[in-house]
Amino acid sequence: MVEIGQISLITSFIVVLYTSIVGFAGGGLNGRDLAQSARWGFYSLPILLIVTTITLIYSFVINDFSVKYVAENSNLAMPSAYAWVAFYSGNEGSLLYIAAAFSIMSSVSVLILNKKLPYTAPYALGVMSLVLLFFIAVLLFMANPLEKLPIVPADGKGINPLLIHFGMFIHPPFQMLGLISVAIPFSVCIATLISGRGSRDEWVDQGRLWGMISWLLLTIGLILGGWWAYTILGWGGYWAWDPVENSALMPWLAMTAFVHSIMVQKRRGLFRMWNMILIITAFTMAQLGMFINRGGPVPSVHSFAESTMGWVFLGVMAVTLFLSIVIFVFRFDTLKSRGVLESPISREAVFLSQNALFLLIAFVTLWGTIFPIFSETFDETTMTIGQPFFNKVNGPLMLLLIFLMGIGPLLPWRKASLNSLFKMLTFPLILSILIVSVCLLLGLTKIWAIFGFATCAIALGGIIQEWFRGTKSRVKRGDKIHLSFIRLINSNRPRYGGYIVHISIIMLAMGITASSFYDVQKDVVMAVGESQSIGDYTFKYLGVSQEVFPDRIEETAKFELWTNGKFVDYLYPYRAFYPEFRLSATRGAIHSNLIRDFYLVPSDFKEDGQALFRVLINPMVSWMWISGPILIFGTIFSLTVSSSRRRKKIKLPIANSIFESRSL
Amino acid sequence: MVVLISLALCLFPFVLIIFPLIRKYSASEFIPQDESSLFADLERRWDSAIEGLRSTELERMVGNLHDQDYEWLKNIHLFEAALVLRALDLQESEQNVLIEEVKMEVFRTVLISQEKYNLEEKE
Repeated sequence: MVEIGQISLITSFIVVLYTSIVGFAGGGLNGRDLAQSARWGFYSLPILLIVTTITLIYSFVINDFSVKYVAENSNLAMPSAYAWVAFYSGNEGSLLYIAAAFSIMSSVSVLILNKKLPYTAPYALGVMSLVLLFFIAVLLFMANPLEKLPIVPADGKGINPLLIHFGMFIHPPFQMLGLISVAIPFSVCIATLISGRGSRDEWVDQGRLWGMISWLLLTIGLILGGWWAYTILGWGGYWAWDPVENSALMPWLAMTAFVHSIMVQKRRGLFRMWNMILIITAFTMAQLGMFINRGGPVPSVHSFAESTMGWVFLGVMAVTLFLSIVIFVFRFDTLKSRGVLESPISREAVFLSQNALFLLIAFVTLWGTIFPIFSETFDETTMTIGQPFFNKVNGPLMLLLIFLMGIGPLLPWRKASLNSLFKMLTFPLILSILIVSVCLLLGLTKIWAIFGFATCAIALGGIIQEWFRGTKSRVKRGDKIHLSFIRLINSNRPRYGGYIVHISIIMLAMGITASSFYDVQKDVVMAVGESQSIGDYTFKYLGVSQEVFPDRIEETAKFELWTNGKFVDYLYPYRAFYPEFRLSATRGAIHSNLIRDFYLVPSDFKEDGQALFRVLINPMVSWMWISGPILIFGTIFSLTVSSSRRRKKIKLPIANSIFESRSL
Repeated sequence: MVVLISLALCLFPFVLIIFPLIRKYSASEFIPQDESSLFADLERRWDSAIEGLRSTELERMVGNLHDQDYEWLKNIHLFEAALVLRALDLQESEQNVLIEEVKMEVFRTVLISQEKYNLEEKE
């Protein structure tokens, strides 16, 4: 079975080598047969790579420890359902996953691009083939997941215990796919530049579509990563500005800037160069993320695939960046904007400011992430930059971003007068003042937190105001309220889908603000039968039980949780020791509601029956997890077009003079 | 069995790659429109102008636009649409039909925003 996978991998290497050459040749020579040959060859890649993937997963399922990667990442005690997680838990498998997933996604994109941009598509296929060629070459020559061992061990080493969690079935796949998917809008952009077709905004719709999809995948990966860290790592937080986390955040920031900025190009023909720069930056940062993930020099708490391969990724990143800049400079003259920025009080001006802020946050994060390398090189001491630096620098910038997010969509394209601005900001400002008053009444005094909530209120106020006025206007036509609202939302899906996404971002920001400023933490030593109180909560330690599994020894504590004298729930935090890995993993017990989370995690069980626990009360964390599905819905909604809108499109007839003179 | 599957895996992409190179293209085969052609560009600019008009009406409907801003924006988008028609060098009758369609589209949105829809229906 493994042999089939190997042959499939070798074949895919030959095919992708062919498509990467013939794709460009087909575009350059305008050869339809060459372009089609490259395209059809490209379509075979997902099948070949899926076959390789299936052989590896099958090896995990049947515990074929003759395969080195299987022996290193699983054992007989591992539940077979985790074969999927084990598949990408190591360096080689994760690379295979990336190659297979990217081949599927890029094949779909080539299929669509061939219809929408038939003369640019061969170049885009060429760029995507080069990306895939790199991954398949690394798999074949440096990190082959199907490599066999000369002596077959009786049992494997086992999967990293931290990966035994439901979240691992979805978080890494989304995160890795998100990072590599940036290559698709990047390929469209570079293909546009190579083919010299940037001056007429041909690529904008496809750039936006694939940019949004990539952004969505990155966002899901980030939220799931935070959720996984919160529920399994047992430290009570969800974001630590760890290098691996930052490496996922940086391309997300650049892509967020891109998906906004591309709208300006679509509507106004502005920011042509800027959008190219953004997508090149995003792809460079995505590659940097892969470099850090794969054993880069930056220390990380949870870089799960350590190797020295990172330097290969860094080299490829440098070459890609250099070539992109060369192509960009070479085609500079085709990227001049069609119009000019007419007023600082306009949607495009706010988008530009927002873009600058996104990039500023990305570069601050980059500096904080790579600073240890510089300190080690020049000072010979390893210094890491901790959470306070990121929070203090990025926190206010993010607040400013949310403020701009609130007012940007309210402004019209091109120009608005100060009168219009005041008119549209009245209600959001009133709501903001109201929220500040409520905060003060509740006894909240931390100025940055209040400022954060007020900013969120401005953003939310703008959305409520727009929905209310739009619905009211339709109700006056005689429609029922709920129908008016649905029709309003349906009338302009990109716009209202964007608002739904903004609501989810506001929820995320509220959750982050509340949990960062008003979390309570306490370490308690408790004997069996003892009770302790923190805030409204009272918790009683009922005892601990020990269970021995083939791969771990697990100690589970049992607690009763009460609020204001009422019984709420039993909690079971546990601590497990994995002898094979010499690793202790704790898992907190969480009682969650919309207002706050009660989070209990065992630190140490002593022999005299006492135990040390860390207790946290984290306000509004659940808002962050709820924001995820809303965000997904909003993004997908904004990408769809309503049937009524399609019907209303006023099509241009093809003028005889133009139809006849093909030279134009 | 392994040999057969491996052979199939090798042959499958080979056939896909070779087929377009050896097949004969007929003269009547569909040639897609160049996405960079002037017409495609004008079509995008036309869509953008119409979208701009719709958006302007929507902004006004929800009360985000002052009257002066509204008039200015509306004129800008109408001017852009007119430029596209001019560049297309259409016959006058075709231009008139299109302008009428645009006017109807704008009027429909104006009706909604000015709450006259019901009155019209009653009349």
